Amino acid sequence: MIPAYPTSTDVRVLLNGQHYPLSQVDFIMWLDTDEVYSSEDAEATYDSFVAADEWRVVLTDDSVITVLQSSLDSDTREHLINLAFPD
Amino acid sequence: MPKNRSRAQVREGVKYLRDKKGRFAGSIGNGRDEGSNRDPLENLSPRQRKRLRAALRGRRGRVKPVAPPTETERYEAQLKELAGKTNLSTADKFNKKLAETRLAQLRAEEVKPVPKSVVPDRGLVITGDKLPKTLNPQDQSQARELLPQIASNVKRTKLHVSNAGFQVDIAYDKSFSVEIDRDFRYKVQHDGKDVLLNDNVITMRYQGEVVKGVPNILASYRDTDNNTLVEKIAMAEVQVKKGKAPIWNVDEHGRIVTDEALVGKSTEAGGIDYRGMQIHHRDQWALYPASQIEADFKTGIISAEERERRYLATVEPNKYKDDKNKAEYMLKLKPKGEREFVILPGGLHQGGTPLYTANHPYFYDPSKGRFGAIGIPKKGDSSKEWFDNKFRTPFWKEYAKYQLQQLADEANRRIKSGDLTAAEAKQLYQKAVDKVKAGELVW
Repeated sequence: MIPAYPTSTDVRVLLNGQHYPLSQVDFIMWLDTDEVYSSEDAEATYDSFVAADEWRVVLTDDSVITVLQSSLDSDTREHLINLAFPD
Repeated sequence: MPKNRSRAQVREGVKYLRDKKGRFAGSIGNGRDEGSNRDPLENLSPRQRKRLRAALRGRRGRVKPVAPPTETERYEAQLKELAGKTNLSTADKFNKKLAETRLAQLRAEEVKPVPKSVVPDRGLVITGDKLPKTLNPQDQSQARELLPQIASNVKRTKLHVSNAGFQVDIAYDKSFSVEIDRDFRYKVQHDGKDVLLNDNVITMRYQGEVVKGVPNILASYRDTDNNTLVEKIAMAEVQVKKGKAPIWNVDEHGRIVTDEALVGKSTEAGGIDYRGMQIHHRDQWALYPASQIEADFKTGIISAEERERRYLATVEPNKYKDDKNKAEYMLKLKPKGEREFVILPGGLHQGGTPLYTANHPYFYDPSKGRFGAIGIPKKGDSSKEWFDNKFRTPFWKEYAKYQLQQLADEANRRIKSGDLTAAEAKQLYQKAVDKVKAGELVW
């Protein structure tokens, strides 16, 4: 039996031991082979994003969190990938 | 222009993140820069600096500006600092690589001579076969004004400026066409209400896909001054080759959602910053859109069993699962011809914006027994890989060609009517090209 559709959109992500509402994530940055990209760049590619070891998560209050991709739980990782590369 | 500043502000923020003491900004830790002996203003993003300056002005008058070191100087200082370290952390390696890369780029730019723009003074050249325009019959008269000539089998798109005005040699992809859809409305549900995100009437077709909600720029170009118009021509000319998505400017592309809280970003001048245009997979191209399943269920059109069947029919195990792509499930997509893209400003679409979830509803994930984010396939036909590598940039190139044609037509209309002379047009174009090369204009 499939449960009721979730009504809350306040999904939280666990970054460096602290939970942040997903809505506080402003954009994400990462380093590709020879360039720094942000999730706002039209040239940014999914492959370069998921291949990066480190992501810099920029929050709406302008603070920056550096996270190792390998340290993220699968849900958080998935949320951030979807944020950086919305369908 | 405020609209450009707002985007530049974002870019400046990104640059700042690269530049701070010559290294990538941020800190390993709990989300805050751990601080240093540096000028505190240097540690802040442009928005933070602005806020701090405003606060300081309130207390003790204007803050004396501090001349920042050049980007090259900052990277050189950072590399020197890192060279003194014995054990480099991951962040150090990251910053070192970044500094080396940027320095190499900056040095290459320093020594590269900027070629003087040469504009051949020759007449109109149009090559290639013409294709018939793709029109909705009822909109033929409007479309005659809106639509450019569609040319095919031409490998080059070129702009010439002569004493006769602007001449363009447009080489559209064979699959590209433009039409009008007056009934187009793209709405999402947010906080229980319908929010209209796009009702622009232009539809573009490319590679058999449909892109809806493309703004009609002609009206805004009719009102703009000669210099801005010609600057737009110079920018569009570059983007025919680069294919970068343009910024959603209110003046040009219209005001879509006026509630700043829903856009999530404001400009320095206090207006809404819609950010860059993005191509959105409407309903994530899902075989059964989640929003439609829920709407049909709530209104009694489908039973609980049918709701479950549709959710399960819309996802499948992720057959491209690997170290990079770890999702258990991916979406099953609608076939070509039954799906569409819609253009959205990044401020209404991308990660972190208030309407992100409304544009990307959850699907039921059987591996977790609950709803969650499930994306389109990462590889294969119609995948993210295809979108990134084969569709997005080439589409924006076609878009730029269309804009180039529109802009040149408008400039030539002014030349014909005497509002602009060909000599002025040439002069403005030269200046605009130089500004584009200097990175002073934002597309």
